[in-house]
Amino acid sequence: MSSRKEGSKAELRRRRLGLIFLAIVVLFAVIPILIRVPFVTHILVLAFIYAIAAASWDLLSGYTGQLSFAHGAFLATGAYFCAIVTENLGWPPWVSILGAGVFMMVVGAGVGAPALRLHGHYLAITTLSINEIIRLVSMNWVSFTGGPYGFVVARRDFPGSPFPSFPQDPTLSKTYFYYLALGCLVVCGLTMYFLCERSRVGKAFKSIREDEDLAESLGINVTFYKVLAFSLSCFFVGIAGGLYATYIKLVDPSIALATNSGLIVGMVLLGGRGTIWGAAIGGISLYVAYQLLRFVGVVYNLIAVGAVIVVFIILFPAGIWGIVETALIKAEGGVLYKRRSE
Amino acid sequence: MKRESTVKPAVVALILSAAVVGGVLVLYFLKQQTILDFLFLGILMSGIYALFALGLSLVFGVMDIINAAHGELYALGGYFAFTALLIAPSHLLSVVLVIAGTGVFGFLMYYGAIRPLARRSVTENKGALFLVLTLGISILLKSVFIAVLGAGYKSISPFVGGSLNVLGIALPLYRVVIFAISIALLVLLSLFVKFTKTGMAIRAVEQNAAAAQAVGIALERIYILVFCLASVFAGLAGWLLTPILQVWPTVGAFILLKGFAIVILGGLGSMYGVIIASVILGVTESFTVLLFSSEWRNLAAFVILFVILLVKPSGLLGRRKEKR
Repeated sequence: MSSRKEGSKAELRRRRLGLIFLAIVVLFAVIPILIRVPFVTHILVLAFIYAIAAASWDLLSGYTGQLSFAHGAFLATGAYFCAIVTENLGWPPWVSILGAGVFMMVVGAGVGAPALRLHGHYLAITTLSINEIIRLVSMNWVSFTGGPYGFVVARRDFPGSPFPSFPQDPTLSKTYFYYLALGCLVVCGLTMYFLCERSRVGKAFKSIREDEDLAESLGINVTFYKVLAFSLSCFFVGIAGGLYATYIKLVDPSIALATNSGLIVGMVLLGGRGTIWGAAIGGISLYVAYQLLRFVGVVYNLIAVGAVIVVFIILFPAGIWGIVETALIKAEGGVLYKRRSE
Repeated sequence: MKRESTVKPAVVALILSAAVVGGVLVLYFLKQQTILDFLFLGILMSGIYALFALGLSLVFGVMDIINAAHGELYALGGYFAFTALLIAPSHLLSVVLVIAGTGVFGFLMYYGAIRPLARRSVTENKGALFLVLTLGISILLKSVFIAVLGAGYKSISPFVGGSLNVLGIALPLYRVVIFAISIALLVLLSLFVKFTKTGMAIRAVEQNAAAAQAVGIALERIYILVFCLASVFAGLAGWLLTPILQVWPTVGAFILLKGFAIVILGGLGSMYGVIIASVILGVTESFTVLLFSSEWRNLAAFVILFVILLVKPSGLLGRRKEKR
């Protein structure tokens, strides 16, 4: 009896969450119509791009438990790939954004391979050093990446491309990118959400996070799913990187700084690990806060990122999402089952 | 500890023979005098590396925490010395401030961040959480350094100048002195850990925390002691190396990756491993400068790190830890 009741309640909650989700998307969709300030649009475009990156980190580290401290550098690699193929090979932006995703998927599988051997601490240290290596390479390989000054995407014409080209007018291009980035965030987020929450793959990811040995003993191919998680996560962060390169048209090594990886980690911690949407919301809010704090002072945004990580991991390990979820369940008078991260 | 001693002679012999073969090969291609110069400089550098990496290794071995903010503790040492020398030109005062400052900071970091997280009843793997936490502290400290002291390079004057002649090689006296200080500190630490009662307690906690607690060792006290000790060592390393390397807000990431390379090469949690690995890293870096150019020296640490992680992740002298 109670299980059916619980089931219908869960269904109800799911529908309500779906409605909230739709409302938020609609809200974001009307923002550029209501507020015609290019700066706001600009910040939100970047916030959406970072939200995709944060959600992809969540898929890897929040769901599968494989800690990566290199997502800033992965974002940069995707951006560099996109910029270089657009500029040097003349790939149309659409193709190069997707290409960045596919390229990063391959890179992710390559990085995932050592993860077969490495556990916990070792993996974290490896990804930290991968981050530094990518930064050093992008900084020092001047002929290929443009070195410290960055790589500029100046090409505007893509003859023979069946796809419509991107608008060149700055204001129009901002609005265009706003909807493109929002669309990408929704599509990528939904894909990740269904993968992680509604499919067998997500169950395998979670079982690896909870207990790798137990998962293996139950017949789950741990190796396969770890590499899958790595390449999927890198695919989405590559898409984010491609969007970044196409939008900003300048890719420089500062994106690959370890603090940028820290920013992505902070976003997920703020939003809530293992929730995808929480991570995306955390990504948008922390990025907006990060940019607004620039008005206070140039370094205070980084101080805020550090403070968010420290405070949230000690006091609210479940993030905003966890707090809201707990409140919702309590308001319904439901049973508060113990979340893993609490 | 027992397993270490059975592995040690074989490994040391292996390293020595590799070093001899490498040395002979390099000697064959270059003039002998330069080789000796660079060999000595590399070894002198390794003292500081060992001092820095030992804290990292100690905190990992005893508390099972990888402290990503260890590099910032190093920077803190350099900055404390810089500030002290601004106030009063006394090196004695600056070293007192460095020890007190980094010690107190380690204490605050333990009580303000590490302990609250350790006390939370989290069911998941805490190592990852601690790593994220210390990474957050590292970002926080980095930006605080920029906010307070600016993004520029800061330097302090060495407390001794001049050079020393050893075997016909003129070595900078300051490097010799800081090497001697590091070695003295390392010897003191190993004596402390080997022979005092507290040191025995530290080793007991390192081997099995639950069992150590069962025989009446106050875990909390050991943790706080180890953490402060590691902080002070990192701070001292920062103080000693700043006259050579200078100090800047993101120096932490720079030195931390070297520390990681050393700790992984030596085996996470192994003290002797750290010392051997420091010598290997110091000499490798030094020869990288000799053979290629100084821009590539920082890559030596990464190459070592990767080869070791791919070939033998448990390091040269590492004990096999539990997966989690």
